[in-house]
This record gives sequence, C-alpha cells and structure tokens, in this order.
Amino acid sequence: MSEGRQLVAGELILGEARTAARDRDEAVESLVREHAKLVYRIAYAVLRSRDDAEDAVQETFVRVLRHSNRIASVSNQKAWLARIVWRVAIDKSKRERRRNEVALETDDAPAERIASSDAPIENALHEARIVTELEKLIAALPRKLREPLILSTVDEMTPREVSAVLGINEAAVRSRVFRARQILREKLTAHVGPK
Amino acid sequence: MREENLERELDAALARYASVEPRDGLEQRVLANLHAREGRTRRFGSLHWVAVGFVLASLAALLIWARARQAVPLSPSSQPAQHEMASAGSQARASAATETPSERNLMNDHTRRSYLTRRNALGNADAIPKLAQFPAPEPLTEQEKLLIEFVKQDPREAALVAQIQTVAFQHEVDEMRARESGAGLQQEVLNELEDN
Repeated sequence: MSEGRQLVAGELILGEARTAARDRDEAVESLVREHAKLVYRIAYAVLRSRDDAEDAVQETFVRVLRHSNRIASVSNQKAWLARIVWRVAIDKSKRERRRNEVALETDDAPAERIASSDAPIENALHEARIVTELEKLIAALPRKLREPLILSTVDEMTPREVSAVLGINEAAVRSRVFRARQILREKLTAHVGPK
Repeated sequence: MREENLERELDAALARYASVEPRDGLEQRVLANLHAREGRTRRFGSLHWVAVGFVLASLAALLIWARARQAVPLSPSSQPAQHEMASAGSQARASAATETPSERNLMNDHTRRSYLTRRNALGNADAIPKLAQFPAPEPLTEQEKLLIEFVKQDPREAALVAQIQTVAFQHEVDEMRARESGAGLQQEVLNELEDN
C-alpha cells in the first residue's frame, strides 16, 4: 500500500521535473525565435564583424540556457537579453583587441552594403564611405559617449532599455547620445565633406 | 541647408550602423547548438557523478589505510614482528573498551596505545599455566638412581651411612677451620717478630 503510494509520489515528482524542464526548453526556444535578431544586432554594433557577432549570439543563448530557471522571473526579457549580449560582446571585443593589437580590416560589410544598395553606384559608394568613416569616428569616441550611442543605433532599443543595459539613468543616456552626435557631425564634416 | 543635409546623412549613417541582417537560419543554428550542448551536458553530467563517486571511494580507502597504518606503528627493521605487533595492537584496541576512565584521562593517544598493549601482554602471561618447580626438573643421573635403589632396599643401613657421612663431613669442616685459624696465628707471630 505504502509502496504504491511512494511510486505514485515518485511519478508525480518525475512528471513535475519533466514538465519544468520542457517549460524551460520552450522558454529558451521562444526567446531565441523572438529576440535572436536583436541580440545579433547588438553584438554586431559592438564587434563590427558578422562571424564574431554570430559567435556572441551563440554564447549569449548558452548563458541563457545555463540560467534558464530564472527566465520565468525576468520581467523584461528583452532588456535582460540585451544586457547579457552586451557583456558577452564587450568581453569578446576586449579579447580580440588583446589578440590583435594591429587591427586587420576583415569585415566585408562595406562591399556588401554597396552591392545590396538600390541607390545609384555613386550614392552607394558615398554612403559606404560615410559608414566606414563613421565606424572609425565612433571607435575613437570616449567610452562614456560611445556605449550609449552604439546601443541607441540598434532600432529596437529605446533610451529606457539602453539605460537599463548600461546601468545609468535615461536622461544621462539622452545627453550622452546628443554629445556624441555633435562630435560625430563636426568630425564627419571635416573628414568626408558635403556630398 | 548644409547643416540639415549633414544631420540627415548622420541619421541615415547611424541607422545603417547596426541595421544588419544576420545570415539566414541564425535561429536554427542557435537552437541546434543549444540542443547539442544540452545533450552533451546530460552525458557528461552522469559521467561527472561517476567520477565524483570514484574519487570519494578512493579517498575513503586512503583514509582507512592511513588510520590502520597509524594504529600500528612499524619500523622497517622489525618485519618479522609485524604480525605479532599488529595482533597486539588490535588486542589493545579491543581492551581499550575495558580501560577505566582515570586511565583514559591520564594518557595521550600514543602512551595509551603502548600501555594497553603491555597490559594485554601481561594478561596473556597470566593465562600460561605456572610450573610446579623452578627450574624445571631434569631426568635423574645413574648415581642418583643407584642411591634411590639402595635406600629402598635397606633404609636402616642407608640412614646409618648417612649419619656416618654427616659426622665425617662435620669433622672435615672443623679441621679446615682449625687449619685456617692456625695459619692466621702463625702469620701474627711472624708479623710481631718482623716488627721487633
């Protein structure tokens, strides 16, 4: 009698555990399907390389899987993911910089941008030149201004979410982005000049 | 006008800065990687427990071995006595249960062990049956056997012979003593003559 009761209790516990595991797997899968692109864009904004950005995305979701039991308690999953990928990308960027003190231009993005642009070739070349120049100028910005600007370039990120990722208030995000844009405008005029 | 153009160009450039589309099938690749990792974690998880069990068992065996070694201190030169000492050690441990509280309080571990071993050894000596005569009796010589035979055959004559032998022995002793005292007297006279 008691053995039968224990068996039933064991089955119930196992059933609960299986359900919880299935729920966690489903939660992670839904996060991947919903936010993989946002995660990729944040990673790319920091790393400026498709391969590195994809590696960062993989690492981010591996971390999410490791802490999957916390997913249910996270109130803003988008901001939570953004914070994880931001840290992963920053760490990766530091490692890469240490590995290659002399940065090699391996990114194929400018050529892709020209090829995928619908604009006439002259305009496309001009845009590509501006973006390349902009990357250099953003990289040269002080970290305090660079980080909010990079995150705010990602379409899906609101100033509130940027402030949550960086751990600063929303007003500080706005003012730093404004100052960063001012510096970029001045330097871009000097470097590229009007069209 | 120029300012406005520049502002528009900057907006467009910043919008393009992060507006990249990932290669097709990013989600599938991420999910496949996660499934693969999960499977690996499960496999390695069970292996991990096997390894932990093995390490714990090894530690337990090592601990038991170390304690057994500590309980029976051996020197390399006393190999033949190992077995005896080991058994004495185990007896000492067994008799530790019978020791009095005062014994336990007064001694440290090592002293206690050796004391118990000694006490136990003494207890074992008591267990050996005591001899009726010390030193152990030896078989009789031929002369002793003949004497016993003579006494059995004629006890009165034997007693008479014994009396004669005793008197003769006493006489001999007296003579020896007289000789010794006479030699002493002579020596005294000689000494006095020399002094004069």
